Amino acid sequence: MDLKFRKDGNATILEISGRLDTSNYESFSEELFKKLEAGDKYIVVDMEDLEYISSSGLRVFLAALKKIREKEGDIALCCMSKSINEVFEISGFSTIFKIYVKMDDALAK
Amino acid sequence: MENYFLNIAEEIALLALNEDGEIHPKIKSPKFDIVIASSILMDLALHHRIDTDRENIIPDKLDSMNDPILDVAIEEIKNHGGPIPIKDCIAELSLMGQFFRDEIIYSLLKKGVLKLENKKVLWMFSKRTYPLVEDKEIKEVSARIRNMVFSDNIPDPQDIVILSILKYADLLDVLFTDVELDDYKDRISQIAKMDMIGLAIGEEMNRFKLSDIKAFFSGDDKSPEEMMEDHVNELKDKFRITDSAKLPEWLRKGTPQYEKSLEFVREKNTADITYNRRADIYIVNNYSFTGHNFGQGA
Repeated sequence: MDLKFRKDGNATILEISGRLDTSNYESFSEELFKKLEAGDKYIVVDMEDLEYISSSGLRVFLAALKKIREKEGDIALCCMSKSINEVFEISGFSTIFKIYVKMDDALAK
Repeated sequence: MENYFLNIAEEIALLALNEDGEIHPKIKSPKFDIVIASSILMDLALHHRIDTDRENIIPDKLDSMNDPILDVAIEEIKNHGGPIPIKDCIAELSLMGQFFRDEIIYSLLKKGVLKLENKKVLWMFSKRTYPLVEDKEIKEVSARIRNMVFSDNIPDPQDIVILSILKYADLLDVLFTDVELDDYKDRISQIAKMDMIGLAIGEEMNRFKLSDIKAFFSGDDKSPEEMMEDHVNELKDKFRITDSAKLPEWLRKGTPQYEKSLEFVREKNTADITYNRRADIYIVNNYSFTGHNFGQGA
């Protein structure tokens, strides 16, 4: 798994690629929560190159969403592949996360 | 992950027990063994002993959790040495349902949440509360789950899995009135989907074929070998196991452990039994939480 952070105005963009599973969810969580602790309030996750996500990965997203919304921030997800989108649909996570097809739409918010 | 006082299987057992020690009728069904097995797997997932995706249980750090119930499941998963289809894993642990039922109650007695009175297990306190842990009052499970459903807050992972189990096991009536179930059905469905094992339970429960297992297994006109064979075939049918090699040793004909299973069947004149490999004990299933085997777990 690779993570890249960059800023775009008030938003923090996180590009995640590879697999997110039990082997790396902890490091993902650490990096993501560092941004939350630093006060980033709007994070857009570009999931175009994310190939696979397991329950461990989903829980990190859930925990991060809970934390950021406590601070009146939000996390948006975009550019998902069909298989990743299916996981979010089947698990119902698509009803609690804001999901966009394109990055521009996520940033426009 | 925050450490909870009780494991999920224990929380579910408490939900199924009222103040008079009466058990919810659905608990007495063999189908409930699927719920227990799934609770255990969900706990292992929350504690990062396993990971899951849409299809498989993926072993992670399989260290002991110093919990006799969860550690038995860890041992079973270790035996596979790799990913296991969720439904297969649920099936395998379900075979040990009676053992887990007894161990759950024993554990709750030891933790001081329940007490034994006149052969009934009752809540230790008149109000449904847990003992203080590190001077903190831990919110009782039903209050937590209800608050989660009635709010718009993002739920905690442990509470997601409990609600998921209750929904797919058709046990929501232990927590909610009919009116509440109707008013909050969308919220409940939304939360219940958030766990992959929960989704798998739903499918398993729908496919599970209930049969009158007790009447089927005992009978004077069948030999222990015949009873055992019938039992194995029933289990294979129940859990859709097509390859006998996937059966645990105590159910697999030709193994030394299978011979020991036959001895127990011969002794008890029923093949409706469970074997716990870790404790090396056989138990006759009674599909209740108040079995006669308190304290015989590992």
